[in-house]
Amino acid sequence: MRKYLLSLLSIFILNTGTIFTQDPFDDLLGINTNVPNPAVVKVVDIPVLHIALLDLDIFSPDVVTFGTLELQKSSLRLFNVLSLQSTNLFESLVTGTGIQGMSIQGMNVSISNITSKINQSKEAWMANINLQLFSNIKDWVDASKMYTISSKKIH
Amino acid sequence: MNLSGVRAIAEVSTPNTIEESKNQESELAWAKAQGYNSVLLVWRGESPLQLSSIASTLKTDGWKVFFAYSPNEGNLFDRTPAQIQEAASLILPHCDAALLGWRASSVPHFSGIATSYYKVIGGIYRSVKSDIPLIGETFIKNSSIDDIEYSGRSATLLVNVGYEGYQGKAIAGYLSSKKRTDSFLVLVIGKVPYYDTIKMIKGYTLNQAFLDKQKIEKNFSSAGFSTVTLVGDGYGERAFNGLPHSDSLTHSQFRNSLK
Repeated sequence: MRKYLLSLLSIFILNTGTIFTQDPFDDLLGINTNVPNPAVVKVVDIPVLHIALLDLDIFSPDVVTFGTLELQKSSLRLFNVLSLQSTNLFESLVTGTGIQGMSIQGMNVSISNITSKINQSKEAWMANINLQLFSNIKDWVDASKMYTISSKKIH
Repeated sequence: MNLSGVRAIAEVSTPNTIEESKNQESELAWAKAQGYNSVLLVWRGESPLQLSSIASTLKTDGWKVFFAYSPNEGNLFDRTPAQIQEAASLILPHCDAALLGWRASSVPHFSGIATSYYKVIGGIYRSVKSDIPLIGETFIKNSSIDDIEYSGRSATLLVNVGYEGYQGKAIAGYLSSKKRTDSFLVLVIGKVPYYDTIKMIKGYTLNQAFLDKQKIEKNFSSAGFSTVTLVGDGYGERAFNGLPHSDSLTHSQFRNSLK
């Protein structure tokens, strides 16, 4: 499992650093804007963060720190971004093209709902959200090589 | 796929208790009397045996049955393709069509290209039932369109316009201007998205919610659209402010809305 995660980590370091030429994350996160060159940090580190949260012990009570990036866990949108990341992660693994972008459209989740999730213990939060994701996603990548659908319309 | 005359109600789901089962049956009987002729059957990853039986019964009873897999809201990949295949093999034989996306797998939850996910889902469905029509999705927001990019779709679920204030004829004109010739199934929710939870409209009764849904249905059907009406506000099977919420016919009380 750890080996697999490290390979994912490598993929994202390689991919995200080259795909984005501008910051698509403006105003999405509760990011400490005092960090050096925040646009670059955000682009490169956010996909890694998702994996790092799973595998490394960096989930501090109030602030998640990875490299020079600080994310306030009280940020309304942190949970959304981390959740949405899974879709991009899957597509990225299948296509090998890297993450294409990110959006929070349609994710109008309430503050209270987010807070309740953030207030879960580290173990519960990770078990609910991340561990299962990464154990299943390899199956999805494998399935993407098995299944095809024809473009023929059925009436 | 010819959706002409389709007036669907959602969501039919797996009941957890005998009471929930009876409630769903009562709601369906009431819905049929109200003129609904189709259902959206939603599988959320539970054991599929009961839902398969429900699908079979509904088909025998004359309903047109649409199927959707609704992934976990927090984790799109909480079920493996093998698990989805197993469920689809039991349920799809009783269904008329299948949606490629629903709720957490709705198109705006992806950004960029999401063809791989839909390819797996559609591929699973077609491997189980080779002639199952697949229904795509178009999400309209701020005069922009997000689509499931699948040219073989037999029809399209139209999302984010089934609210008060949207005019069916104007939407039809907009889609026509985009050269869209799909058969569309409009998702009808009510006054506003999440009227009962996030928006918490005060004094908005069950009766008013039902009347609003019917009004929106008529607005779109008069413009040539078919409709699928959600009995809840769209928030799904999640607690809100510590209170349970459901969009399922196992919990709804629409048969009591006109009393």
